[in-house]
Amino acid sequence: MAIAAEQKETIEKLELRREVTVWGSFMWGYADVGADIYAALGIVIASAMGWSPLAFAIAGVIYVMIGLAFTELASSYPVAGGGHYYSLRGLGDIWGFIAGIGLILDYTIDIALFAVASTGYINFFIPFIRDFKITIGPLVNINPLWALEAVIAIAMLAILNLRGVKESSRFNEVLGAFDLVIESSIIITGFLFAWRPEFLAWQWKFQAPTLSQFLYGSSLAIISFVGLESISQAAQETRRPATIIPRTSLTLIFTVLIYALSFSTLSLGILPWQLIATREGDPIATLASNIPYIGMLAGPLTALLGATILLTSANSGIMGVSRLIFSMSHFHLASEWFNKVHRKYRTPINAIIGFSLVGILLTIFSFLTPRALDTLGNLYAIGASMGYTLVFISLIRLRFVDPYSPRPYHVPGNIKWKRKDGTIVQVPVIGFLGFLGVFSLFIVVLATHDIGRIFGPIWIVACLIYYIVYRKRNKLPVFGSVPHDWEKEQVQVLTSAEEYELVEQYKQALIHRDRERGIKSRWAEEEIE
Amino acid sequence: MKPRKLVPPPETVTWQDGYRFVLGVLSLVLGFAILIRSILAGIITPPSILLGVLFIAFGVYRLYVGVVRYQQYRAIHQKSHKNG
Repeated sequence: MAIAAEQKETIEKLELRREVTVWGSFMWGYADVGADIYAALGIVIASAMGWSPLAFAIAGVIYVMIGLAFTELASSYPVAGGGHYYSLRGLGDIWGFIAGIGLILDYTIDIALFAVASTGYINFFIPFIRDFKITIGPLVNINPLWALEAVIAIAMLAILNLRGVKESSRFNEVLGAFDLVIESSIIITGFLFAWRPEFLAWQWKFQAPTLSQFLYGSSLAIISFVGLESISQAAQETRRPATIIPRTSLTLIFTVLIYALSFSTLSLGILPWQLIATREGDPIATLASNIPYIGMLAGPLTALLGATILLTSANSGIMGVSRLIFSMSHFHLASEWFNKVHRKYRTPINAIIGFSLVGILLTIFSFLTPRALDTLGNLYAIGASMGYTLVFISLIRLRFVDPYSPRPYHVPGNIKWKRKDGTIVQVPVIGFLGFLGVFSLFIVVLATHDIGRIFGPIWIVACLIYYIVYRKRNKLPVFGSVPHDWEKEQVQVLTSAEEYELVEQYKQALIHRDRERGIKSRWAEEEIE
Repeated sequence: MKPRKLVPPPETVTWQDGYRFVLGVLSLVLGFAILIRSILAGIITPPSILLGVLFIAFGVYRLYVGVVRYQQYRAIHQKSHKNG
């Protein structure tokens, strides 16, 4: 009786509600990735100048490969945790932890960066706050009112997330739909009535950046695509994820890519790059207000749009980081404290509160520097490039160590390779290309981002110290891995996702494997029972 | 293991099909507008070619998917009509 009650409590402790639909899953990702262009356009154009569309295109190629890898992995392993979970399964506990801390850094900055950017767009309507500056001792021209706005926004989103995924997913859906319509309107009217191809060509030819400026711009451009991870984070709360995730991911990849390329090409065909660079806080609103016929309305409307979509993106950051740390805690990579689920709403209460507070601290820190947005943007790419490098390695390795898990979607371009035992492995070429791309980006980020170069390694070392202390205190192997029954876990995950067809496929594959090896299969026994 | 089909054949025409059709047509128009305006201006840059081609490819894909789904819908509809 006591054991049954304990089991029930454990299940309740670990389960997140499956409430997210196809549209919700798409919007969860879109809210995060789609907003990036609002924050990134100005800072990328400030560096890559007339070649900004090329910087976005290069980053976009890497992004597409990341997206395809996530589509395969998230539909095969539909659990909260994303990149950290794949690294854990493919490479072991410590690599799962390292991928996790990279993505935690990413999400936490996501919360701060987008809350700051969102309130920046709100200040389009309140110029008093936008222009408010004071000097306190060594802190010159800081804006505490804007900082306060951002802090209030984060606190509000934390409360929303505590209420549960249903409410916050609906929040993403409504705002995301509104944003999609407005963004499309700007692109269509802009290209048809305001875009001057000869002006784009002039800037392309005569306003080219230096190599180091272009590399810096390209590495910043990748941040305008970061967030696809959100879909895999949402996988554990998505209905029939193996069916939904590939559909939403592929649509999302293309939508975001085309929007990023469109906005950069459109901007440079309408305005000089210097003007967009000086309007770093509201580049899309600046662009919109220069479109004929709709400009007068489009300026304020786009500011409103920017504020909403960036707020949605900050919301996705809270959702993502809370689910990620929840998963890490579940696998003994972080303290059990994060594993607590709210009794009524069944949301990870401590994780949400904890990382919202970290987001608030980062926000305050960024406002102590001369350019808050630039400081946060500078930090953003380091965590993502580190986490994604490990995701590509995991994609390749999981094809070898776990060929039996059903993969509803395969990344395109695979080479069949026959192993010594006669089994055939499909080696993903995109895994290798993506690894090279993201790893190169990681090196560029370290070489060109002043704050990221210092803060990134400090973050990794500090987290590794925490990991060593935590694992030793709990008598767990530091460099080795805790034994995991991945087969049982996979069956549970797919069953919980109601992917019964895949459960059956998986069990049959395991039974076949055991038969080939001449051993008695526990899955065959289970079927007889 | 062969990946399964992600989208089941449609049983009815929904507003989403209409949305996809409109999106496909709009993408085609925009793609051609970008390419033609660049050609008429006399200077073609890599970004405008890339974006124009991307929009056209997306439009063609959307319309292709729409046609295939409509054919599937017709096939199901005719089959059920014969049986019933």
